[in-house]
Amino acid sequence: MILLLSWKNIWRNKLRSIIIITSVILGLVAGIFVVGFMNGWVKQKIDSVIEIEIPHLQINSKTFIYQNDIENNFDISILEKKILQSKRVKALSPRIIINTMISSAHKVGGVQVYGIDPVKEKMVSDIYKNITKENGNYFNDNKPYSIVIGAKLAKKYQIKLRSKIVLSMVSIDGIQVSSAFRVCGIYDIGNPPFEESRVFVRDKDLREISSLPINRVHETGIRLIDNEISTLEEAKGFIIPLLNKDNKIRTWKEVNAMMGIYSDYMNIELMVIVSIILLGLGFGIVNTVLMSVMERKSELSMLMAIGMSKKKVLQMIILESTILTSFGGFIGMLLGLIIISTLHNTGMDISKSMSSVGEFGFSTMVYPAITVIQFSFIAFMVILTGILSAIYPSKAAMSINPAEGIRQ
Amino acid sequence: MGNSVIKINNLSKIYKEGVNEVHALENIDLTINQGEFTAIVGPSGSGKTTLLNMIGGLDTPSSGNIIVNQTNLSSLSYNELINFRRDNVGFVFQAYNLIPVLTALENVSFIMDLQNIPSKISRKRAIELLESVGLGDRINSRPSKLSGGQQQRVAVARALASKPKFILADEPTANLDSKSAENLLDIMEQLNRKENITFIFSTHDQRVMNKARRIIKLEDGRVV
Ligand SMILES: Nc1ncnc2c1ncn2[C@@H]1O[C@H](COP(=O)(O)OP(=O)(O)OP(=O)(O)O)[C@@H](O)[C@H]1O
Ligand SMILES: [Mg+2]
Repeated sequence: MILLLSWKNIWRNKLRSIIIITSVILGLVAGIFVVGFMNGWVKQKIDSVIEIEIPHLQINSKTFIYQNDIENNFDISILEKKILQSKRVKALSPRIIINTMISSAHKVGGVQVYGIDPVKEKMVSDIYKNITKENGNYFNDNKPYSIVIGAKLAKKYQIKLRSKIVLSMVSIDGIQVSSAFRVCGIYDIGNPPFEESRVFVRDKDLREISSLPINRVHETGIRLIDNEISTLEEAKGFIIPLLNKDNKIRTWKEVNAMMGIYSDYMNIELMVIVSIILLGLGFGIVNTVLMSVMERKSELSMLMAIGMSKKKVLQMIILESTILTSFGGFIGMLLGLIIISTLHNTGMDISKSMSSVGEFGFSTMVYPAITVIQFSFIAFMVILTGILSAIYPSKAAMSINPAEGIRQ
Repeated sequence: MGNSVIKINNLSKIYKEGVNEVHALENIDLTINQGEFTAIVGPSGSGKTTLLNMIGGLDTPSSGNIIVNQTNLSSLSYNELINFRRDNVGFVFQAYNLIPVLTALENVSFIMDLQNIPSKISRKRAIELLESVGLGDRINSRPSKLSGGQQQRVAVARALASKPKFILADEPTANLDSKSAENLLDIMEQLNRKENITFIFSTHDQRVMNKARRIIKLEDGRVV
């Protein structure tokens, strides 16, 4: 009977009920969308960083991490074969890294030159995919002393495809050396600071100029079979015992602290956002239910006068908002799911609404996604908020003095 | 005459309004017996509603006692008073008697549901009661579809449903035209005669007063 009464009370003021249902739906959809979007955005950023800029794992000599000097190198020959035995490792690319002066016809400045084996590097970093046809290619022509540079650097130094540039550096023997390279490709990854500071040449060319002995490298980039954190930890655990005490292995999270923070603290950030949404929702429901209680003051007085207990009055009012919230919750969950899965498949182009995003190295296509745990958490919290929000108004209802309410 | 249902000893009620004290009831002594059909009359502000609320356990005395069937109402807690009202008192108010979203039948059954009476039994009893107040054909109507007199008759049926010791009706006819008022009183009187149900009602209306078998007159909170 209480259930019947609650149900009928809901339809008394249709507009008000619809407002509550709609707020619950909006709250849920907003929560699900924001969380989904953030997930997609961060995943996009992390994936593109891993695929292009920072490998899953990288090994350096400890001294190199603090000072990028040419002599802070290590031997890769045996290590390479051992690392490749791990099932989690997809590819590995030994890299020579030397600070050099670059000079074009217009400008002189500092860059890091990476000496790589194009075949191996292509399996670790997708930079080669970011060279359009008109901007050349990634060492496809077998011409020696070719160089691949970033779009931003090309613009700044007014370097064109097939231009000649000169790299000057200090060799391993401490001698100032320099050599001319011809630009064979210009990559554009939407990350100007990166594009400006890194150029790529063949390892054998760089070894020749710098007199770095064979098998000596400054860094080894490792690409794993997937982006899972568990894979990352397992691979790292596999490699650590293979290293000698002078070398250090770091995950992408350790190399780029910002990205690590993004991925580690995202759930907390999302919880804050969801809490704000819930707060607004709760406030709205408290007000609306309070209004419905105050409007029914005489009737509630009568019910308490004829012997309806406080407990049952409380039950009735909470049941009312539980029904409304559950109904809105169900529709909201469904709608949220449809929106997320649709956007997950089509992707969202945020370049129009957030034009500055691209310049900071964020891709402009985002594929929203949500985990089952996040989804259930949001749904649970929204429905819980709806129910809890009814408690204060029902307490207000119970403070009504039936004798006075009846007199009016 | 039968045994006493309600015994009131030296009852006073003082309302405090800021510094002012309103002596709504002063030193009332009264006994109501089983099967009475009693009217409480008096000018506006004389304390009729206050007295009925005290008897019904809706308000607490400033001093004195009300004893209903050996139970002193002053000894009951808030929650015990709610149950006392549910099980011992049938209320008919001047207005706001019924739940607007429920039908006449549901309104009458509701109080029995609060008493945890199985719905099959309560439904049957509710129909019988509605028939006895002449509304057998309107059991599925909502209050808004009933006239004021019909609504008050539903309220009487609802008041009877819980099998109370007595029925309190505070100006039950105040919002009714004279014909409906007379009709309601006739029904109440019939129930009183046939089923020996105790009725205590307050009124301003001379014709309603005339139907009463006992009249308690109040003036300035005292019985005169
Ligand atoms: N809650 C209250 N606070 C203060 N004074 C009150 C309160 N309730 C009633 N009174 C006062 O107590 C006195 C008796 O009021 P009561 O309502 O019992 O009179 P009544 O005989 O029922 O009047 P009426 O015929 O107008 O209904 C009045 O003076 C009234 O103003
Ligand atoms: Mg009155």
